[in-house]
Amino acid sequence: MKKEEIKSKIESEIKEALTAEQALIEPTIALLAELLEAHEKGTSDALQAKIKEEYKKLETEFNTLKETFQQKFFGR
Amino acid sequence: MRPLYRIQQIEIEGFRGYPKRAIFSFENKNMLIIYGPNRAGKSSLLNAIDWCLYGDHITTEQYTKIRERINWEIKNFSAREEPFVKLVLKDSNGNILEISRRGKISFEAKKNGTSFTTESIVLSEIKASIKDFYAGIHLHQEAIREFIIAKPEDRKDPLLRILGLSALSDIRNLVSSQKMAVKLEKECGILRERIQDMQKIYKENIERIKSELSHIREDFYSENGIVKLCDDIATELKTIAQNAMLPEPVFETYDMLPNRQKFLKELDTIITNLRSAHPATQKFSDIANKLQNCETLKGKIQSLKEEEKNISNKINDLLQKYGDKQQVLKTKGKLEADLTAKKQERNAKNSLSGVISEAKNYVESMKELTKCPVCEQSISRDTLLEHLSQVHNSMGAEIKSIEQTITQIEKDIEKYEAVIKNYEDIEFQHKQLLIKKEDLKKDVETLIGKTLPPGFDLLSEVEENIKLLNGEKDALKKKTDEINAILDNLLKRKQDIQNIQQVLDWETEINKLSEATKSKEWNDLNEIIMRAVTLDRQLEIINEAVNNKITEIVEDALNKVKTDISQIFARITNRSDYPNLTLDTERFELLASNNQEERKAVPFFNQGDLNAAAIAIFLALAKSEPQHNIGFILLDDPSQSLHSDYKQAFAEILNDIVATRQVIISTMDTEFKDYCLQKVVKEKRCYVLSPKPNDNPDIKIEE
Repeated sequence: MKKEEIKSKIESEIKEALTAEQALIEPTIALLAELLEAHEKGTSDALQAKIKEEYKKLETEFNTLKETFQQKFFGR
Repeated sequence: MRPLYRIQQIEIEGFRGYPKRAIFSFENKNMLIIYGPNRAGKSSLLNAIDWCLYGDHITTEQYTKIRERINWEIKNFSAREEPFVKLVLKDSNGNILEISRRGKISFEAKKNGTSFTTESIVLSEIKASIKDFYAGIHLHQEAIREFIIAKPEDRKDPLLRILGLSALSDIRNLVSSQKMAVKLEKECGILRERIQDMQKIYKENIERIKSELSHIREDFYSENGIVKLCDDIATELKTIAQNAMLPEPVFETYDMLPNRQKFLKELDTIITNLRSAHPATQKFSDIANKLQNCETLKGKIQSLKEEEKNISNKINDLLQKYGDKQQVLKTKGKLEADLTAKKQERNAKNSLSGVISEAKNYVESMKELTKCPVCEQSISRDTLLEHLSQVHNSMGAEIKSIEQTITQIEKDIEKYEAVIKNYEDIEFQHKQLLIKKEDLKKDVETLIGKTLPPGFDLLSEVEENIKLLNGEKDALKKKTDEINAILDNLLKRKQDIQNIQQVLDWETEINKLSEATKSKEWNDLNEIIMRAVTLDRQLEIINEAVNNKITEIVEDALNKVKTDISQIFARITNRSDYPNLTLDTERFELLASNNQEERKAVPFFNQGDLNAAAIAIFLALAKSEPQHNIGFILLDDPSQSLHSDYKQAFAEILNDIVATRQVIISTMDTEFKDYCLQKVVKEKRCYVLSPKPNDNPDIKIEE
């Protein structure tokens, strides 16, 4: 089975799983492509770092907002 | 089959076992055997190929799955320059890919003469990640061991790597560790709980304060109510000041915060000042001071009287015993006269006694005596001597008696001198007492403001004064108590206002907290959670999709090589009892079988069988069309633990493999090397390496 064929099979599986969440299909398939491309271009480091960076970004943004929220409503 | 890259040439310098430059030319060769003893540079050559393609990633176990790679040195210890490796690859379409790497300093690649320095372009060209490379292209003994000894369920990842599908394995491992949305939702839950807890605490505090302030009407719990209460206090304080003829106090404005806080704080000082400056308080304080002074004087007077009494007692005592001072002086004078007379009498007696003693000595010196030499009366010597002795003895007794009398008189005189000294001391004390008394009289006169006649009873006067002052103090106490009560009440009302203010502040906080979960900040936090939910969900879906398809993909890949695995294994091992080997695609169990039965292979295979099994899987997959563009395989010491017969069969199989792949073998096994040279009919070359200390190995070519 070729890589493209494998990718296509996984994409079909994603589409099927997200039948009820149509809006998520396109970004999820794009993310899959991004993950596979990142892996092919370098090592799995790039892949892991990319996801971890995205999560870190969300967490940092959340913590900054949480601090603002606490200062405003709890006075610290 | 698409064109795959094969190695044409390797140039190596300063890398591991090669301190100097060496070139290995593989041009048009289908099999290369790197043969030599330990430390001859065989593995270094294979490692140089790995390093040129993947750089320092090959020095870690993480990517290679080779444990010995921990703290692995790339640079030859005696080389001057940074390690250098250049690979020249060529595919069947004639495309030339040149890759060169020098330490961490430089990387360069050229495809058909067009150069580029980005490593990812090379990886895109060869389409093999390092994990895929170490599983499906470079077969290392550790990789064989890892695959064989792994539990069946743990063989999935090594197998995916052998199949060139490590990306799928990585995605599965990555996704399973992430659950950000749950973590952030938990944080939001904590914030929500905190809001509820704080509101509850504020409400409880408000209820407590209101129950303590039951005398405060509900309508005072408002801005207007507080201003009204402040007004009342300010007005009352002004009235008190006016009535007492004191300056009117000046207040901070209190119609709004934060000046009101200042107003309430300053009330304490204003009330304290008014309390101390009020005439009634001042007069009361004045009387209290006077009373204290009177009490002090009274104490001093009583003490003086006591002292006076003591002196009087002493004088009376002396009078009784010795009479007054004049009488004592007179008695002492008489005693002194007696003493003089007695001393004269004693001296006279002493002289007479001396004369008698001399007369006695004279008579004793006379041998014969018939009459007294003084009066010339007839008397014998002995009679005269006896008479003189009697007179002398009598005289001695008299003198002794006089001496005793003198001693007694001297003692009496001493006693009277002491009495006189006592009289003088008492007279001095009495004089001091009179001075003190005069001073006290002046103090009393100052206190009562009038002159007292001599001999006036100071104590009675002071006691009378104390009585009068106490009367005045009692009369004033009622008035000062009234004022203090009014001022204390004002302080209490000030405290009530502060408590009401606190209740209003808490009510404001409760309202503010009620708005918290409707705020922009809260919505923004939830928006981030939604983004995390989406990302979690996307990764979860990708993971599920990969997991759902992975078995199908692996099955597909294994089914294509199923027959090859079994055939290669049968040819290498030539086992008659269980000639067939299969890899179960559901449980990844190695199964050995014959026409009658099938059983798990690992428990009863020997080490050679297990190695042959791993080699069979590796070679079968290597023969099939790969996911990458690499047309060579590297076998590092592949004949380890193989029986002599297995080695021959293995060489025969390699002869099949070289039809589709360039095979590069590193071995110290002479027998296996010879089999390979005999059995492989296509173009082949053997490099025979011999180690030299601190130098490149000797390199000879055998074909």
